[in-house]
Amino acid sequence: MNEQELGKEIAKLLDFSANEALKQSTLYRLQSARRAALENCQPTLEIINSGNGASVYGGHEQQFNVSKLILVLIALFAFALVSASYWQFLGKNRSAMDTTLLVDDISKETYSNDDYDLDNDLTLDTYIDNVRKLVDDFSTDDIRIDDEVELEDSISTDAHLEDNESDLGNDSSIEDARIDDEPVLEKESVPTEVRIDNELEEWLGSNK
Amino acid sequence: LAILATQEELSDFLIEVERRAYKQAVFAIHDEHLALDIVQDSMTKLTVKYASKPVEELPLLFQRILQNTIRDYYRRQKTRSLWTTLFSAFTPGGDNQDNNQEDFDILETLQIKQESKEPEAQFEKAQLIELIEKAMKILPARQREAFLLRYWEEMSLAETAVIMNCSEGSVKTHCSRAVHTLASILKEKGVKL
Repeated sequence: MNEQELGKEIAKLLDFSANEALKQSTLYRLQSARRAALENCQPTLEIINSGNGASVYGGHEQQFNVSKLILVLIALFAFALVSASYWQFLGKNRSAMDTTLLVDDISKETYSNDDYDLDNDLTLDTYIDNVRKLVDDFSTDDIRIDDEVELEDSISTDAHLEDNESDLGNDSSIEDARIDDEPVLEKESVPTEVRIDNELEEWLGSNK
Repeated sequence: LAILATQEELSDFLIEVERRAYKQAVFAIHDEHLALDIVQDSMTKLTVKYASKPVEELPLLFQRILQNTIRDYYRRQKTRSLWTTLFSAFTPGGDNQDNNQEDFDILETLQIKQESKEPEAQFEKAQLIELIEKAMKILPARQREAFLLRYWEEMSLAETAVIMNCSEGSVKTHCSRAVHTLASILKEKGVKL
């Protein structure tokens, strides 16, 4: 007897045992199991558009689509990107606000106030004006500092000369010298805008 | 166009396969109650998920569900046995008598009426079936699966390979080994088919 014949012979014996040698209780339980399974049977008939206006009936269940997952992931990535860029934009705004706090005359209370909105008060033109003003202030301060240094130098030399001539510790003469020089300094340290305005008025007056 | 199975056809199919499915589960698990649970689970899965499939596809689907359910049981049993061995020292013994009393079923005492044949031949056949069933339980799982699907369920090599999730060559090998093992067991017992 070859393999297949032996296998079929054994299968026949197994068939016999399954059909006729089962206990009644087992058969009853199998029957109740089948009934329970069939009670759960709910064939779902769905109308699926198959193209060209035709529809077919079928129980095609909605399968898990990989492309949907990819789309969801892309959407999540885009959302994360947008939120990150918005976060960076907010950070830049905050640094710009810090700059304007240095430039503008905005009080700290205004800055700390949550209702304060930079976009409402600070435009590009005002920002440029503020920067110009700051630069001008710096330039005038530089002029003053230079003048003061020169003044100190001149005072020290004069003081030395007077010390040599009088051989007296006349500190009052130094103070006088300072007092005398100060009006000159004020004349020289007239703001450039005023000087420009004066020149402009003179020019207009001469043209008239 | 494939014709979808009606509820009646599904019921007929389940009536046809339920006994063999039960026997397969018993061979694999060696426990009648668990085997019944597995068959019921498989039937439920088929009716819930694949009720709308064509009738021709049902045997293949059901066998696949059944074999997967048996494999799931093996996996669960493996995990459970690990925990039970770990905590076995804490469990009190002596409940076996109560369990035996609970498991008693009056229907089990009833026997199916059998045709009146020669009692000696019937006895020999019953002994042979018992021997074969024991041999089926001894067989390795993959060999038993291949043998039952190929010779009992009469499935093709390709279908068996799909259910077992292996190549057709592997199915042939498993079948051949299973038949040789069964033949040697029968030969040891002096049985000649």
